[in-house]
Amino acid sequence: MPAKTYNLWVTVERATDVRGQWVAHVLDFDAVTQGNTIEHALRMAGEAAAMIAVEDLGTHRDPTDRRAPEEDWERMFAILRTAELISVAEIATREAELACVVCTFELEVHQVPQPGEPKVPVAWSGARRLSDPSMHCA
Amino acid sequence: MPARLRQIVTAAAVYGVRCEEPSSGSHYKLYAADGKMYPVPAGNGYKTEIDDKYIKKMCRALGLVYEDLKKNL
Repeated sequence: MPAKTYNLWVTVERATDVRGQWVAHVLDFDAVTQGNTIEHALRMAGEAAAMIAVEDLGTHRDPTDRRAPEEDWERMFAILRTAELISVAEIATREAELACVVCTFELEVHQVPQPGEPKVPVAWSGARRLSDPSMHCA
Repeated sequence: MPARLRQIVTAAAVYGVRCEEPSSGSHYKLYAADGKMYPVPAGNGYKTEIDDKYIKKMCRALGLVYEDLKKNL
């Protein structure tokens, strides 16, 4: 069954104007979402990325056409140059001292045959996992 | 300045953007007039407070002018 795999870059930063929230940005799809904690924001980012991939592939669009503008990528690489590498397990315990997290995750999207159209699959479903057990934090 | 999801949906509707509530997940779907979809975080339903960074990216994705939308929030 055909599948597509995307390796996606994500930044998570404290929200500037919603207290207690973390804002996640999936740069490859230019998707922004938010969560109550860093881990929650990352889960939300995975869900948003999967929704975009499934929707775009299902409507014959390429989700990577949404790619964030260059200034967003430059900002992320600037963060990476000064960031410290930590494990996923450390995130929860060190959240209070963190300003920003950069990580990658892998999104795999599969075609799903539709009822009555076994030879012409048109729907997509997504699954995602962190592809790297470490994260860069600043 | 943040805005509630309900305010964003109402303001964006003026530009032909429609909102769809999926049966599962923590995001609603916003559709531009050309059919392009952008997910919106909705952990607290229409009362969810949305950060300004999201609003700017949503406008870019759906072809809206941020300054114009903000006037209607």
